[in-house]
Amino acid sequence: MDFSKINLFKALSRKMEWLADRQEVLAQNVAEANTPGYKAKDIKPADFRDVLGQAGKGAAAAAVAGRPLALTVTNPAHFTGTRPGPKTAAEFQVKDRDAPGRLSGNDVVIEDELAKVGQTAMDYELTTNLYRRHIAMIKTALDRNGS
Amino acid sequence: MDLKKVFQVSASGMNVQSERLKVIAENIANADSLAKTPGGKPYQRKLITFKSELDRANDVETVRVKRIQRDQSDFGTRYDPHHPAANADGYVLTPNVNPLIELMDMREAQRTYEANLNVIDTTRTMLQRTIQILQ
Repeated sequence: MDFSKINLFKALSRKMEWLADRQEVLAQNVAEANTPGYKAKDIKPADFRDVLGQAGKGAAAAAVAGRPLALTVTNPAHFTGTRPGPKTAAEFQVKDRDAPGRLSGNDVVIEDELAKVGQTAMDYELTTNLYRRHIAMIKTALDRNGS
Repeated sequence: MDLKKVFQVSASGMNVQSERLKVIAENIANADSLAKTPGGKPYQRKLITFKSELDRANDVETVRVKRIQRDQSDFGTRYDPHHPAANADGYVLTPNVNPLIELMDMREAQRTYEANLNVIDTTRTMLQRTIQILQ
């Protein structure tokens, strides 16, 4: 059985991917907390439509391209122009902080970053727990003590 | 697995903070190191700066030590005509190390180190959760 073909698992995997990416960006912010001129980054919020676009049935063509919101293709030879690959600059958001910057040009607030790290870990736990529950449900259907 | 890159980033952060602590230790240890020759320069305080660097092999931006420079601020003076390092007027130049500044810097390095450690700890928990899916 291929779990990745079940929409729910696909959506959960995508959420986990997003959280892992965010954790990477936050770790970078903390590591560069003393680098002059460094601006704190954050990843774009996970969009409900992104997750659905990836996982929903209606966007089957987009799912084939591996990216949500793909261009409409009228001929199979057309390029969709959306290739899955390394993160682009557009996926990162540079924060526009109201607080006045420091003389060093660095605007990382370690407390904020650690709060976000905690939040990400909690979301991750929620997602993995949901994943486990759904596997348990499938196991129940297969009658293999899934409860 | 993307989460493993986090370890690399945080480890680089901890690495530069320990390098910073080394510089602070040198400054504090040499807070009283005077010149060897009459009228010579005493120990000059060191400063460390960081920069971010792209690790191309793993596609992560890590942090590195940019350079370790000398603090250009003025030396202190002390009137001690009989000291071997005293100049013609009887003054001895003392290092431009302020122990209070060094201690504050040390505390900041410690806090940043702990923050990086915290991120590693949280990421480890996240990886454990992933492994638990299989259980």
